[in-house]
Amino acid sequence: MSSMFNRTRGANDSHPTHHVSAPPFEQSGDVSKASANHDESAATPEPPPVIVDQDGMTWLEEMDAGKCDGPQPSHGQSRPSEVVSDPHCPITNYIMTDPVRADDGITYERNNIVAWFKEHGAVSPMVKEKDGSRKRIGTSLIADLSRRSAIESLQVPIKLSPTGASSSMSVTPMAACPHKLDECTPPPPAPFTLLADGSFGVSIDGWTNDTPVEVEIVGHNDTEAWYRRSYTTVTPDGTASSSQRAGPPSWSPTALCRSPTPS
Amino acid sequence: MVTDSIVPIADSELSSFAVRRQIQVVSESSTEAGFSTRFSLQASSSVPREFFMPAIWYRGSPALAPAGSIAGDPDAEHILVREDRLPLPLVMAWATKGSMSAAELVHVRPDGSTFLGENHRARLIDERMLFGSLGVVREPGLLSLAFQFPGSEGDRTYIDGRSAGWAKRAHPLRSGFAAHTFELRFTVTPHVASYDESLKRTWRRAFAEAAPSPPPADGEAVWRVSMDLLSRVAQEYHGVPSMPFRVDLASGLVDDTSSQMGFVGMALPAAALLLRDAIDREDAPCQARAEAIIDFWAAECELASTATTGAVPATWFNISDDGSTAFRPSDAYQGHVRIMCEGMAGMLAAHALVPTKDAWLRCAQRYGDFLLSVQNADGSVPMSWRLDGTPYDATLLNATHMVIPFLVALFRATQQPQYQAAAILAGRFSAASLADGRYVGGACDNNNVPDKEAAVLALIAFVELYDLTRDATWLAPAARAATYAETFTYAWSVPLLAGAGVVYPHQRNSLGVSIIALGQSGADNFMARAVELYRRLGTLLDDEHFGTFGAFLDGATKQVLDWDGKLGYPQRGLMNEAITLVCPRGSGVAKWLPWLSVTLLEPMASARAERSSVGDDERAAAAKKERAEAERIAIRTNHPCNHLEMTMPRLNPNVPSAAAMPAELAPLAARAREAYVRSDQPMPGEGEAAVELDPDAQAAAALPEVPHLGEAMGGLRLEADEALEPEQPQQPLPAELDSDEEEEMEAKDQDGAEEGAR
Repeated sequence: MSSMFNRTRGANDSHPTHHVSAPPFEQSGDVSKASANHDESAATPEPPPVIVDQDGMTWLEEMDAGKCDGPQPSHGQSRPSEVVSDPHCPITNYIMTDPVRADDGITYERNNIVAWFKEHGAVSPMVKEKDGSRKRIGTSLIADLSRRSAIESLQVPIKLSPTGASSSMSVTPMAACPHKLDECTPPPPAPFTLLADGSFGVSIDGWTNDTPVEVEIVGHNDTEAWYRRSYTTVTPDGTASSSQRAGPPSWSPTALCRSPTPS
Repeated sequence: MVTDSIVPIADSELSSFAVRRQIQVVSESSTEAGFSTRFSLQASSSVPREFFMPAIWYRGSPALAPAGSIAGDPDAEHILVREDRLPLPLVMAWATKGSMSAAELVHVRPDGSTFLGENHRARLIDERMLFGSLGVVREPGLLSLAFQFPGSEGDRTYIDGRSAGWAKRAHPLRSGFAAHTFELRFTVTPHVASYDESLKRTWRRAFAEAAPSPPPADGEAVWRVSMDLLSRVAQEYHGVPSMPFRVDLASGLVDDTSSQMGFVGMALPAAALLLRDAIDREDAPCQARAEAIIDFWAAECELASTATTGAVPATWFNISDDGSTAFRPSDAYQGHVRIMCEGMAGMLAAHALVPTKDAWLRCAQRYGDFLLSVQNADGSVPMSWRLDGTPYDATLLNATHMVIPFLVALFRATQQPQYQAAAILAGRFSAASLADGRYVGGACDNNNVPDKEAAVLALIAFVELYDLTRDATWLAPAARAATYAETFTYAWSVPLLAGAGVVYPHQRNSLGVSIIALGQSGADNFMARAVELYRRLGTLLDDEHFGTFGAFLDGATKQVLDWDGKLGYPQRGLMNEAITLVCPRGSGVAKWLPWLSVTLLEPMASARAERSSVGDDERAAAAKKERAEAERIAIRTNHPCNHLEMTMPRLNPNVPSAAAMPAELAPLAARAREAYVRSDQPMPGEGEAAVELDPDAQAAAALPEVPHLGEAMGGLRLEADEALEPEQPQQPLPAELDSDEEEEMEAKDQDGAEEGAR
């Protein structure tokens, strides 16, 4: 790929999502707000409070935003770098609205991981032991504020072109799937991937679009040049132009659910 | 300002999303004049893929298309095609291995506007150009499905001649310009079993999305004005009765009095249609003129055949001012079997109306006997023939299906089963050789190029065979040909222009005209010939799309005809022969040729005949019953034992093929086979697995390679049943022979035994 935003699909096997690609910001050379907000040099966390729900499952109270500005609990391994930036829940592949970090070090949509624990017990949805069994983990859930921040504040000015053109984008976070997990057919791979500039790319079945705007500029003297991801326009006030790449506003997870089967 | 919206399209089976791009130029630059943009999706080029762009690129077509064709080099860095060259603006890539998914990029709701001056290869910057280009772009290790707007075309283009190079188009960087908008759909269909299926799904999805809706035409008016035109031009020219070759649209005058029996001249089918109408209207003078034309052809053919050894008719004669006629010198074009078969089929159609005209039947039968004498054992027939009965190239067999409708008509006219057997044999060869979708050489004057007419003629042939046998086996190759042919048909309305040099009637829309062949963008109205065939396929296969497409064609293919007097031609019934919708858009051939009216009238004639005999409910009920019976027959036909006719000659060269069967045995064998297929008898070996032949037998059974058609004959390498020893003749005889037939059989057996004893 000639684009400067080359991505290596599947390069990091430790990222356990099953969708086709989850582009790490870091690989592109850009630094996202999300990753910048996160401090990996953790100190020992405070143990979270314990609650028992109506099913008898023991839960650890998550840290709320005010309590979570400190270090994250250590799980004996460093988290895959791309997890920091991926806005998708690895269970459903939809963009998270309430990301929480589970004991396996992976961030999930809260409703999804809670539903998972209720259905399957205290095991990781994504991580397996060598014998193939699911890794047993604690049920503590910690709000992933950096992820939430990254998702909520994706309206980031992005410098695009050498001439100073910039772009902004906004994302409408998706509602979580209202159905129980087992009522849902496995969703297709999420077609959207977050690009290094904060805009969205698309990835389906090996086909990707991560060069949102390819522009050929023709000069008055019949010269021509292609700009990928960049173009040159100036707003009337002479300050900047803008490029907007909207996210997936109508990607409806409910459309992928089948009706609950009567017992 | 660039605004891209990417919106998923929810679907439980497909991964699909829409891309909407809007660009508004907010200020101008002193150094920059114009711009175009591209949206592309990239994938690894290591995955082997087959591509589809309507009327441009099919599996295997790069090797067959003329030199310099846009998609002639599948590895070119850019294959970007203007969408006004595409019947539907789409590109599809099917992964032949691995995921076997089909990815399609479609321009949704294309505008397509341009202007008359947009007619040369040099770069243009103009905001009136609202067409895009689609295709494939390659970079090292990658390929992209791409859409560019406005539609630059390269690495090859047909503008200013078919050759390498770009025709670049751009929009102006003018403050306030905001017409740079488009919407695309990208869809991935997981695991599609074959290229044909990928093509079909992609085309049908885009067709449904486009939902073309041509304005209705008055069928009765179409019929009447077309017949009136035929009647007007069917006259004596310098004393020679002729269906002339050409009428000038501007003057309305015949400007070429020569006459060609089939193909574009269509003198004999046109005369037969005129004869039918004259009889219906009890118009004796008109009937006499039509009969005189056919009489003349029959006499000329008889004369020609006595002067040669091959019974091959000359197909095109000129009329001199002194009233003398001279056939044009034979060449591979004029010796094409399509021309002869269409002409002779017209002769038979006329004979069906006036059975007392023995010379007409004799003329057609002589040619039919010639075809049988030169038909190869595998059913194939070389494409083109000299008057002395020798083929121009014995290895060119891709027109074999074009003889079938004539042979079927000849069987119906004579009830002599050797014609039926020859038609079926040709059908089996064609079904196998066309299985790879290489429809080549339908246009006789361009006989080595993939084209739509070869596919439409295959559709006609296979439906004829279905009608002949009521065997649903023939519907599969018919449907394949139908799908291929329809992808040449414009199903979106390319905006038309008015002005100097424009031939296409700008008062109409472009729906229904179809690209003629790969390697160029000329378009014509030939799909009119298939209106009823698509409707029939829709009914027979219970395929809603085919029915819809037939209805679409019915309205759309009347657009170029001046049936209502609104096109300003000197006479109603005229229409232009060919145009281009690319550039100069609307230019073309401002002439009428008889084939234009014949392709409109023949399906109308069959529809009128059907409508007059049964009502809608009755027809639907009959179709349902017919489908069930056809499927039952197909099951029996496809049983290995029924393919002995094909396999036996290969297992044992000493056993004659059906084509070489002694004439006196052919009728009996044909009737026996027919009765067996339709019977309820258990089939030999029913329920048993087919037995593998030993290597020697397999080698003996292997069919020869079909030149130019690759492995298409694979479909004819049928299983051999254990009970069938190569040296033994076929003996699955029907139980329902009547006593006369049994006696006849016994007599033949007795004769054979005595012959053997002698």
